[in-house]
Parts: sequence; C-alpha cells; structure tokens
Amino acid sequence: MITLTINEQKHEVEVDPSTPLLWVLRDKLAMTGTKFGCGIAQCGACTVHINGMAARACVTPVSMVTDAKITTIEGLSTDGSHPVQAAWVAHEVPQCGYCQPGMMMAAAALLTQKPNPTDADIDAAITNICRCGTYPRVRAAIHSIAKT
Amino acid sequence: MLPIEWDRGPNGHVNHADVLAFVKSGLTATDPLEGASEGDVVAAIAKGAKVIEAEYHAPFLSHAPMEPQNATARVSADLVEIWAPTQNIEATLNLAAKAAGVDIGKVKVHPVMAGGGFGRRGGQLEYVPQAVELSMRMGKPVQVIWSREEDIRHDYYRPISSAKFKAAFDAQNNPIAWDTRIAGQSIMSTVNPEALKKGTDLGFLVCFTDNPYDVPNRRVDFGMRNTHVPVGYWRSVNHSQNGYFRECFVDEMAEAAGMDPYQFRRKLLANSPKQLACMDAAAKAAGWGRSLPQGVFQGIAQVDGYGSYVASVVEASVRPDGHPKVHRVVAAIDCGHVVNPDTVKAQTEGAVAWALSAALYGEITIKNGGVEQGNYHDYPMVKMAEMPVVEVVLVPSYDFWGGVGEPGAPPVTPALLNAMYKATGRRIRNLPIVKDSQPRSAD
Repeated sequence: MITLTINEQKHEVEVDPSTPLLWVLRDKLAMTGTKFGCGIAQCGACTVHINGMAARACVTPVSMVTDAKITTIEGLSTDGSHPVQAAWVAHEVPQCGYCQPGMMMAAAALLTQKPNPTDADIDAAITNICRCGTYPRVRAAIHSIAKT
Repeated sequence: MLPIEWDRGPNGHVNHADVLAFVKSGLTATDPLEGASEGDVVAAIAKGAKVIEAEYHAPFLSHAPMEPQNATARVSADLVEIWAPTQNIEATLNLAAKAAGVDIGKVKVHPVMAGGGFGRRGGQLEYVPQAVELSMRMGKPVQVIWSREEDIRHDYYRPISSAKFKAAFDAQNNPIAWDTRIAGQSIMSTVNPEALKKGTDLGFLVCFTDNPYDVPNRRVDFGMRNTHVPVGYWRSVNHSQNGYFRECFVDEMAEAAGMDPYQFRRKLLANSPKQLACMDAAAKAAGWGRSLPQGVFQGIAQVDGYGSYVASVVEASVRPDGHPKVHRVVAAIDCGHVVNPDTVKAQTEGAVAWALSAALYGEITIKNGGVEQGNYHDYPMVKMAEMPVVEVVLVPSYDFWGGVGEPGAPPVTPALLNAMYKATGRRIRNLPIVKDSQPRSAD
C-alpha cells in the first residue's frame, strides 16, 4: 500500500511502486485531468506539481513521491478561479484543450517562481507541446497575470 | 518469455531510399495522368528566351495529435456502446457494427472531446473495432489506448510527393509558359481505392488545376506513385505540399523575371481579385519591404483553399548553422463571412504552428517496411521558444462561406523558405528544413 498526498488529501493505493504517477492518478484515483501524451517526458500533457515544482507524471514512479505534496489540475482551484485558469478563459487559449491542463500547471509553477516572467523565462519554462498551436495565447495569458 | 520473431510482411524489404526512388520516378514518367492544360506549353517553352527548372520534395508526415488514438467499448447481448474521440461518428458506428457483427441499430456511439484530430480521426478508426473485439472476447468493457509509438507508427500519413517545374519567359521577362509535374501517392490509394479505378486523383493537383497565376501556356500532370505506406487527410491535405511547391517556384520565377516577389505576384494575379486583395492586406499589415533588423528578411506566399484565401508574410533570420529563427508571421485571411472573429484568428495562429513544425522538423521515413519515428523526440514539434509572433488580419469579403481550419497552413512554409532564400541565397527545395539547410559560410 502506498500513501500519497494529492491536492491536500491523503490517498492509499495498491499499486506496483514503479507505476508512473500519471496512471495512478488516472486509473486508480479517477483524476483524469492529467493527460497522457507521450510517456517519455517530451510533451508535458501530464504536468503536475510536486512540492510546487512542475513535473512530468508519466516518468515519475509513484514510489518517488510518497513524501511529496502533489497538486494536479483538479487541485489548482476548486472552482476554476485560479488566476491562470481565469486568464486562460479571458484569452480563449484552448482549442482542442488536451494539452491545456499541463500547460496551466506549467504556467502556474512558473508564476509562483517568477511572478513577472520575461519572454525568455516563458520560453524556458513552457516546454509543453500544443499541436493546435495555442502558444501565442499561452504567452499572452501568462503576461496578463504578471501585470495584475 | 516467448521468443518473438516478427513477420514484417511482403514489404519488409522496403527502405526509404526505395520509396524515394519510386516516388521520384513519377517525375520522369512518360505516361503521366492528365491534370489540366491551357495553350501549348511545350511549344511555348521551346520559344522561351529564358527557361528555368526546379525540383521540390515533400515527405510523409504524421498527425501526432496530443491525445493518442483510443476507444472504449462495452459490448452486451443487445447493445454495442462506444466512447471515442472521433471526427466521424458515422464511420465509428459502421466500424463498430461490423466488428460486432450487428446491425447499426444495435450500436450507440458516445463521441467524446477529441484531443486533436487534424484528419487522423476521420474514416480510419481501427482502434474502434479493436476495442469492440476485445470487449466481446473478454465479456467486459475495454478501453484501448495506443502508445505514442503506436500512434506515430500506425498513422495514415500526409502523402509523400515531389514536383518538377519548368517556366519560360520571353525577351521582356514575361512568363509565357509554366509546366508542372507532380509525383506522389494519391490519398485515394488508401481511403477510396475504388475512386482510382476511374483513372486519376485530381485532388492531388490542387493549387495547379486551379492555379490563379495568369501565364498563357500552362500544364500540370501527375506521375502517380502509390507506395505500401497508408496515407490520409492531414490538416491542409494536398495544399500542404502543392502550396509550398507552387509558391516557392513563383518566387524563383519572380527572380528570373527580375521582379520583387510581391509585385510579380500582383502582376500575375491581376484577374484574381480575392487573392490579390488578401495578399495586399498581408503585405500592408506586415509592411512589405520595410526596414528590418540586420539579418531579418521577409518572404511572401498566398494560397487559396477550402473556400478561403490566405496570404502570409514571414519575417525570419538564419542562424550560422543554417536553421531559421522565425520572428513574425502576418497572415491575412478572407473566409467570406466571419461568424466568430476570434475563432478565425485562433485557427490561423494555430495553422502557423502546424506548418512550422512540419517545415522545420517533420519527416516520416521507412525502414524494413515500417515507420522509423515513434515519439516526439524523433518526430519533434515547434514549442513555445520557436513560436513566432503571429498577427492575423481578417479581410472578409462577405459573399461566400469558406473554411478556416486548414487554409492558414499552406502559405506559411513557402513564405518562410522565400525569406530564408533572401538571407542565404540558397533555395531549400527539400523538407524538412533541418535536413536540407546548410551551415552558412562566414559572412
């Protein structure tokens, strides 16, 4: 039995310790906001926060995060009111939407570390793939939060 | 563990060099399929004071939507239920009914939000019958999720194709003839082989059968070369290759005529008011010919398709290693009526990223009959750091209804390549750029 702290709640799961956190979230805990895109930490669709830092859940064995504070997109806010979520709505960022939970988690982590990120900071921190090409709006939304 | 010996099938011996040689043989075939012809292109070229020639190539491309292909099936005695991200509910219904051996009245499809489709989730949905068959055998609901590797290696690819051009000019540098040969794999060879029995696939020749540039003698024909690799509809379909071929060669024609590429296009589009207005809007918004930072150059292209008109100006520089940095893309779109301006802008912005990922990096190659690439590390995408500023200008002329999902992509690649030519003096005629670019000599 493995105990995880996710979105400030304790969860006990019966899984192989090498199971990626992504599949524990999706298949064991029905938190399907975190997405599978590549399985090798290339695309960022599975981005969550581990102790406040953006991390890729698809390559994070669940055994590594038993003592960590994990935040998923479901925990970013309870009502979609997190500044990143509000900015995403205001800028109509998503198209298909599949990469956006990961994008928002990466953006939220960046803004925690750098409340006024430069374009270069955004380029360095947002390495998620969006096939719809929403990058210009992601950038604009992040800047809009920094200004507020 | 059971030792597995894979049977690579009847095409297991085919490698990419074989595919390339086969496709390119269509460029010199003496029995091409007819496309369109006006005037006498052969006689006009023979009379030309100047003749230019060029050959271009475009690779297979995968869709690689963020959500890998998947379907969930629950088969019971009286109902087959499917949950799937699909662009084609009717095809989903038919495939599920066939797999279960039941009438479509016994099938219920729950279409769910799709994590990108771009043509991949159209008619070829083999993960649906997979889920049905597994659910039937296991007697319980089954969710099938392909790995990213399965998604990229079992796609219906943007067809590989090549183009060979000849253009002739009179003594005053007016273009008098334009001959085009397209070689490549018809999408119909995979999605509707019956349609090919009538002879050809004119859809493969778009941008040429409806070429708006006024040149008195023109011809396009088709050396169809269907490989064993399955092909399909990929966002912007055949305009993705043909728009790039045509608009790069138009730049070569402009240079041969000694004219600015924008003014050369204006001259040949005098009788195509929609294309002309759209291109003028892009040139004006971009400030065509304006003074730019050292090393930054502009390229232009215009392609109509899917009922809409798009012109793009790309501002790019070229690094010492030959790789471009795209600074700014200005796109003007006339889609007739605009319902939601923000959606038109969003789609046109997204089309820039779509085109750039393909132009910079996209290539699917074949080894031992199968696809070599498997994930985003060897089939890379443009990310935030490489995404240019995109400015979209809406110039609706309000007397038709055009699409906005596809037409934004085709002009981007040729406009970029035309800008890169100004920077380096070397034409790139083979994609992806990462493969055909060369380090620049010290300057």
